[in-house]
This record gives sequence, structure tokens and C-alpha cells, in this order.
Amino acid sequence: MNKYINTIKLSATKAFDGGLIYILGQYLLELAKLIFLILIWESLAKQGADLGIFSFNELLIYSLGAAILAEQLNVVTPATTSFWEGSIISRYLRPMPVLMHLSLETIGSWLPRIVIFSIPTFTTILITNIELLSYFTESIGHSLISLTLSISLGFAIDYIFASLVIRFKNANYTAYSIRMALITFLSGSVIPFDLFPYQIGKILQILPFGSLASAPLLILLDKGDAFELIALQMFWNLVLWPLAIYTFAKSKERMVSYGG
Amino acid sequence: MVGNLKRMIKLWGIYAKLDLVWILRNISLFIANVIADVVSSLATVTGVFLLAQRFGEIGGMTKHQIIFMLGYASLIEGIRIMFFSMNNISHISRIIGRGQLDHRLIQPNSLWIQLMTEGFIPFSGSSMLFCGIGIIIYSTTKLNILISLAFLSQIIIFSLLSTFLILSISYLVSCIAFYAPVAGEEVSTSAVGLFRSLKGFPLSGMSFTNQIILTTVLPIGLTAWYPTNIILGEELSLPNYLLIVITIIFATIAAFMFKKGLNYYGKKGSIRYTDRGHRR
Repeated sequence: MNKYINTIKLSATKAFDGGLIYILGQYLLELAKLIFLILIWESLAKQGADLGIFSFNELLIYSLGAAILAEQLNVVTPATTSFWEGSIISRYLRPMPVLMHLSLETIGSWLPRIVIFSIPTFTTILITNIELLSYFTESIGHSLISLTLSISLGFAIDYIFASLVIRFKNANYTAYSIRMALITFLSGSVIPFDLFPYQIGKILQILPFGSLASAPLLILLDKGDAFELIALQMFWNLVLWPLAIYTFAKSKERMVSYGG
Repeated sequence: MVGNLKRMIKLWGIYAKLDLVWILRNISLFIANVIADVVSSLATVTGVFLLAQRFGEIGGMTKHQIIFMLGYASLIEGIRIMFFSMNNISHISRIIGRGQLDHRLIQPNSLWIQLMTEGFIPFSGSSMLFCGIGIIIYSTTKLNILISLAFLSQIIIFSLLSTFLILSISYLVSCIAFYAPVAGEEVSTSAVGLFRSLKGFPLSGMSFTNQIILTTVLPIGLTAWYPTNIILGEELSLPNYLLIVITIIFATIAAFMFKKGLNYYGKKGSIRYTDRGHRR
């Protein structure tokens, strides 16, 4: 057990190697994005726009949830970057399965953001609008189950993606940019699917990406059928995890890295 | 002055040739890069586009005005990518923080000429620029705007000013890297990222105080929302000269701080490399 905890600890402290400024810039950017999104919701609410199934407070909670859980709702393991840097080879020399090692590193890398960004942002917004607290108490049980499934699915999708990057060889930055852009948009982490025009949202909800961010956030707000959303998340986990393990194992023999 | 301009044109030509050679060497990698640039840049404006499509207007701006604004935002991103993205020129803190400014100080060209020319990739970096132009043309036809010389001049002048404003802020915050190279190495990424992600948001529905803050202290609004409204002839409660004044102010402060940082760098050098040449 100690080796797992130590891996998480090492990964968590690694974030501070470059000093506080190194990571603060990223958090400030995310805070600014959240504020802008809240101001947009406010503008739309003021102009009397039809916000679909949401009230202004619910949109605020949706955006807040997406911001504070951003790393959990869109899991990015070090698999891709370590392949690009050539450092993935060292993971094969350690006394732990590679996927386990990468997963623990990822969990460790979440801790600084949770402490420096997520908890302070969450607390500040709740202090300014105490009514919002009720959303986090009513459907917390279902939300936690859904969040766990979302994280699990996120790992599977990331390992499938890493396997594709191994096939792309030197174009991994390209593949990474496309992946980040698509998942942000297709997972519903920025704009809730219900606010999309036409029927786009309904299609996106049943895709695996919809189970990453949209499902847990909808369950948190008690919107949609929790049982149906969780069942869909379980389905995608059952389909994509075997695929992830298979494709990653197959890709191992194709690894060629020049180092970054 | 004329000599410098000739030198710059020559250097732009050299970098254009290098870019073309890179494309011809590996066409599939080039296509993949173009797709990545377009997808990741368009993703930053897609959210607002979909909201505009759904609601018809946001904060008083109509759907097509918002599309025009997103076109302008893409154009600015396109100019930055085409002229300043190669070799981290728009992400100058990486160069400073990694101790790579030395490479430029020994070149037979002044530093500012190198910074103005070295990032030029007219072939591999043109996709976003064309996307922006395409979106602007589409929205102007929908808005029934007669494209005149004055209209085009306004777009060109404003887009150059907006680009230089983003670069000024990137260079200003990057000065941290002169004093704290490891910690400050990526600050320009956050600065450029801030504008990249947020410039497509319309400020029209926001309070006047928020508009003032977002067009002066943190001038995100000057990189798409404000110029768009001026170009489209919309009335704003803000002065028409705001973009040029704020750009000059930020550019002056950035130049002053950069020079100060450069002097410090000249005395202390960089600690990023060991005697054996490995990066710390």
C-alpha cells in the first residue's frame, strides 16, 4: 500500500517543482473562464432568455461543478506526455503495472489543484450565495457514484487515446490538441447539452464523452433520470475498459520516442 | 529605418522558405497540424457560437454580430499564429526562462527584428487566419454590410492593434522569467491562453463597471468585442480611441519592463543550464 501512497505523494509535490507562479497562472486562467461563463449566464438570464431545464442558479452550479472538478471530468494521464518525452520507458522499470503507475501519478497530480483552486473557489462561491449549498446535499449519493464512473471512464478514454498517439508517433502534440478541444466541447463541461441548438445535445449525451462531464453534473442538479445516466456510464465503462487494456497492450510494441 | 524594413522582408522570406520546406518534407504531419490548429482554436469560439445560435442574441448583440465577433477573434488568433507562433515568439517567457535568449543575442540582427520575423510561418500557420477571414465574410453578407475600403482598413488596423495588445501583455508578464526562470517559464502560456479562451465572449450584457475593467485593466474586451462593435457602428459607452490608447500604454510598459529584465539578464545570465549543457 505504501508504494501507492508514495507514488501519489511524489506526483502531488512534483507540481511545485517550478514554484507557485508556475501553476498559479493556469489556475487564474481557469478562474477567469469561470467568471466569464457566469457573467454570460447572468446576461442571458437578464435578457429573459429561455434557459431550458435550468434556472440561473442551476447554471451557476453546473459551471462551478465543471470548473472545480475539471481534472476529474476530463482525465489526462501522463501516458501521452511521457511517451513524447521518452520517459515512459522508466515506468516499465518500476515494480508496479504501468497503467496502475500512470493512474496513481494522475491522482497525485490532482491534489495541488484541489487544494489551491477547487476548495477556495467552491467555498467562496458558496459563501456569496449560501442557497447553492442545498444542491450539493440533495443528490450527493447518486452524484458520487456518477463521478466515480466518470473518472473511471476518463482513464479508459485517455489510455485509448494514448494508444492512438503511440501510432501517430511524432504527431502527438497535434493529437493531444485535437483531443483536448473535442472532449471539452463534446463532454458538456462548458455549455450544458440542453442549451445546444437543434437536437445536438441529445446525440452528444449518449456518446461516451457525454458520460464524462454532463452526466455527473446533471445528476448533481437532479436533472434527467439518474438511473438511466448511471446505467449509460456503466455501459461505456464495460465497453471501453477492455478496449483500453487491449489497445494499450498492443501499442507497447510500437513505442518509438525521440524524447522531447 | 528603410534598411531595417528591407532586412525584415528578407528574413520573412527566409522563414517562409523554411516553412515551405518543412511542409514538403512531411505533408501528412502538416495536414495533422493544420487540423489541430483549426479544431483547437475553433473550439474556443464554438461555445459562444452555439449559444448565439440557440438564443438569437446575447446581451443585445445579434447572432450575426456575434458570428462577426467570433470571426474577428479567429482572425486575431490567425495573425498571432502566422507571424509569432514559431520558436515560441509569442510565448517569450519560455525563451527567457530556458536561457535561450542568449542564442539571439549573438545573432547579427537586433533582437526586435528577430522577434518580429522569427515566428513567421505563412504556410503551416495560415489555416486559422483563413478561417477568420471566411467567418467575417460570411457574417458581413448576413449583416448586409457593404465591404468598402474604409471597412477593410478598420478591420486591418484594429486587428493589428488587438494582436499587439495580446503580445504586449504576454511580453509584460514574461518579464517574471528574467528574475524567476523556472517559475516564470510558462507565464506567457497563461497570458496568451487567457485571451485565446475568453476573447470570443460578448461583454454587451455585462455591467458598465465590468466592461471598464475588461477593456482597461484586463483588456480582453479590446481583442474582439470592442473592435467588433466599433467596426459594426454600434454605440458603446466607451471612447472610440480606447483600443489604440490601451495598446500604446501596455506596449510602452512591456518595452520598459523587458529592457529592465534584459539588463538584469545581461548581468546574471541564466541558471537553467548546468556546465555540461543539461537543463535544470
